[in-house]
Amino acid sequence: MKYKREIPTKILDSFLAKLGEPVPSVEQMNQATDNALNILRIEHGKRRTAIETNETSGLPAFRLRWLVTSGIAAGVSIALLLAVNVNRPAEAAAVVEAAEGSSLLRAGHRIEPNQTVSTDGNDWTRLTLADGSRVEAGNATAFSIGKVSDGIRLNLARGRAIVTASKQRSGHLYVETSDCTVSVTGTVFSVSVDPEGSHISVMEGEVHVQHGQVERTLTPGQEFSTNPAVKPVMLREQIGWSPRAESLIALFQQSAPQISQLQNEPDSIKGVVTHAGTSDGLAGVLITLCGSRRLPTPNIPGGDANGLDRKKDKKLQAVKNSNCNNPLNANTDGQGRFSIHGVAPGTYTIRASHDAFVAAAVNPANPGLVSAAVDIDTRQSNGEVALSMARGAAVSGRIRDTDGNMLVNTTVEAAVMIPQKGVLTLRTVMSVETNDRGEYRMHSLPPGDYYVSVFPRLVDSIAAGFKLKVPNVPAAQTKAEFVQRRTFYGGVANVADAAPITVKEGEEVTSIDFTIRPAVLPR
Amino acid sequence: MIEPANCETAQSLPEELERIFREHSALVYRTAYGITHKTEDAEDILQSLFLRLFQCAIPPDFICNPKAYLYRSAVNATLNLVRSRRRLVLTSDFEDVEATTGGHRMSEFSVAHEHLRAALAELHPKAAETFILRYVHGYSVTEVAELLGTSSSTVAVSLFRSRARLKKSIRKYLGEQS
Repeated sequence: MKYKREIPTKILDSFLAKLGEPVPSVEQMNQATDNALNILRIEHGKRRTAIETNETSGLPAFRLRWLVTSGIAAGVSIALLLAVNVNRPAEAAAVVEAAEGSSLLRAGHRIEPNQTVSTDGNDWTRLTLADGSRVEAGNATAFSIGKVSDGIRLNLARGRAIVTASKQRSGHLYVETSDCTVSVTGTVFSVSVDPEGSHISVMEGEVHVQHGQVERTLTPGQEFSTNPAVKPVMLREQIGWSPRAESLIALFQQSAPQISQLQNEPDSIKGVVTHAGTSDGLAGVLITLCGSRRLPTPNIPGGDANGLDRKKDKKLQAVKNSNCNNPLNANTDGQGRFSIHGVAPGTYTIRASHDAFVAAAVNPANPGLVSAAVDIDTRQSNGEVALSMARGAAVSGRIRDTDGNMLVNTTVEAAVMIPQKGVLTLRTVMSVETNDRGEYRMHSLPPGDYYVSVFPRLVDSIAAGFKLKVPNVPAAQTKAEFVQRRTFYGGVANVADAAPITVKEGEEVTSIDFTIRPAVLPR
Repeated sequence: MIEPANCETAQSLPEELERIFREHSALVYRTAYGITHKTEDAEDILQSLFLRLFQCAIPPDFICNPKAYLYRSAVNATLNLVRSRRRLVLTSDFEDVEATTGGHRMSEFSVAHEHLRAALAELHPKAAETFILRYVHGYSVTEVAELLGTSSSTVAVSLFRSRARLKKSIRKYLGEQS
């Protein structure tokens, strides 16, 4: 038939004619560009802040200085060794690079192999070992340095030390205490030896610890104590005596940002999930905490009073929230209570999910989830987040055509009316398809008013091995063009004429049936 | 429009990057907007494309020819969006029409157009690039050929095949057995 050939051409022509239209205005494009560049400036500001923080704390400028210093130190050491070797052929195990205090251990002091040295009187002492590794020893630290077949061994009898082991082609740096041995190649860690036992904390790289028959591999943020009675202390306290403490903490945060935040600024979120309308706690609710770092607030031209474009800030925040790659999870106990520990400051979204319970009110964005935003810095002192959930309701029915045939694989949607930019807009919250008997059932619906509608299938297609029913089209309308039209419950096409279906908590609303007429539009 | 490559001009960031973004943002925006007809989608694509370039390592293609790279990325990002949001677009369009027309009958072809938009996303990327230059940006066949560094006949054949595919798709959609 002729119309069958013409219609696709007409549709395609009208599509092509409208494809590039309307042309967006220059102002519209400029505004979009400014918005995008503002977001880039926020990102750039974040980067700069991070770099400045690192510079303040010694990174990466520290590394540069370290390279220069170590280069100079190496040059000086070589010169010294060459000069000294004339009279003293033995090679020094270490050279004191710098020190602060009244001890005889001063800059340039040579430490002979296996010579036991004490730093009593010095607040800190920095040594350079023969392999380029650096050791910072705290006050009242006793140690000796010797050679072993595959590297260097530092015997730490007492006190505390921070070891920056250089990367070595072969061999290891061993740090021995009275009760354990630490072997490393290119890493930063601290060791403290007390009468109760030894304690090792790793800031960068990987450390292998052997304590009797126990062997452990530690990564940044991990600690090991030879005596469980030795209580862990905050990293800042462990290495606070070192003049490089801040730069080491920065290095640590770079290596293990999440762990370092947890360790340095521990906090917790507590809360309760209750059955809506009651104070009964819900057990077995999965709580997910999705984190988001607080955004920097640089001054941005065109931003609001706080220097931020709130819309874009919100969008960025949403992006951060949606990137819930490493969520913290917890389950509620018998009283519906949960607690998540070790949460760094920031803004978080707490989500509660349960098989049978849903949000107490419709959340068009995600009807199946119950969520709340929580800010660790600003939350109240009791710090308890309260969430409530309700039993999901269900709506079911059957879809027929005017001939009484069941319509299979037909889309049925439940939508809610929400205000958007001052206009009531229909927002779909659930969509299902009818089964082979033309039946549908939408479950896990939060209590509320729903506009249930059907999208009839008017296309003759083959599915699941049988032919779907196509409504008969009156002969007078054979030239009509088919379009999909939504039919609301009650057989009306206009949402304004449709009556919402009210569902209460846990309610099963049945017999929401539809009889679909062919949706045709006169030419 | 899409100039020959000049790989010697490595860009210093971010000032240079900002200049390039400003220079070519209209191309990206218009490409996205011309296909989706949605301001927010066009803005999202512009932002995500720029942000990705800013956060990740700058690809050599971008340094060689930023305009071509941005155009190609805009086409790909937009068609990806169309593919992933086909269902969503159908629903929200319907609602928008209802909201603005007070629930009156929606445009006769609008649903079919949505189907064609999705079919456009299924074209081969090269064919889609050619198609969009012709029908979204309104370049003539000769101009498209110059921009893509190919012959007019190649462009004409590509456009003919793309149109045929779309027509076949709409025929299938309407239930006609071609």
